[in-house]
Amino acid sequence: MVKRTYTLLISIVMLFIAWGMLSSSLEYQEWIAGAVIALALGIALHRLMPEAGGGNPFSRGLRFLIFLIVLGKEMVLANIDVAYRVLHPRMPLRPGIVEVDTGIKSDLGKLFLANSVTLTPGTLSLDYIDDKLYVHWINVKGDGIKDSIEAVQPLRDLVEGAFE
Amino acid sequence: MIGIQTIIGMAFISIGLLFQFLGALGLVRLPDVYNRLQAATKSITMGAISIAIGVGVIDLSLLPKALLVVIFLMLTNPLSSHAIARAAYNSGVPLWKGSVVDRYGPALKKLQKRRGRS
Repeated sequence: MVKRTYTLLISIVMLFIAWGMLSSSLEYQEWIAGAVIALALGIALHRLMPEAGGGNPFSRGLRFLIFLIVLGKEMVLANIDVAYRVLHPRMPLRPGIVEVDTGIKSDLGKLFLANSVTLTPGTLSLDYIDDKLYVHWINVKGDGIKDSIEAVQPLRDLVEGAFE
Repeated sequence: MIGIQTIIGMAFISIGLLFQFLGALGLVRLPDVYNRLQAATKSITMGAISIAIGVGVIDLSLLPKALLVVIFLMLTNPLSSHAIARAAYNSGVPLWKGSVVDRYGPALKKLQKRRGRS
């Protein structure tokens, strides 16, 4: 029950922030209308939101921030990697689909891991079957069976810290 | 005169355009659907984000909206590429002949067998 209330609060605040960013004005009428609409939508839709995890919300928020910074860095690296592979005359590719036992159980964690894996260098998430993530890896290391966890590092640990 | 703000914004937009171009080049050059999706998703997400930020820097009143666009792009763009890749595999698009390993096919077959039985 406490968790549900917490989820409700978070969804209302997120909707209100989104409203504020979209309207981007300082008129107080806009903000009052936004507050009313965010409250109504939050109460109507919070059941659809994934449940908030346990633990200290502030340390989780901090870990999420670190996750975002590392994700940004990885995105830039991924683009340099793509540029290198595309512009190289012989295109150094060693593609394959590997199976990664991520060990992440929560729905939100899975969503963020799969999304961020797609944006990191050389990997594209395909599917989840039985909590195992299937990743198309453009540069498979070794035979692609033993060390497949390397495909999703270092983001896997950060996602575990922020969402588990 | 052209201010420093415009120059920074234009730099962001130019970088974005460069990445978009590389993504399009990857679509043409790389061998199969999955490799092409890799290039396309990464470059086009990053390029669009860079362009949105550039527009936000040039006109600061648009910056909050641009940031919202960035958040939605980062959430939805990987999802769509993931859906396309999965649909391609399920409708029988083969991997490139130089591929090293495929662990997804066997797992998918096992899953279908289990679903067929239950």
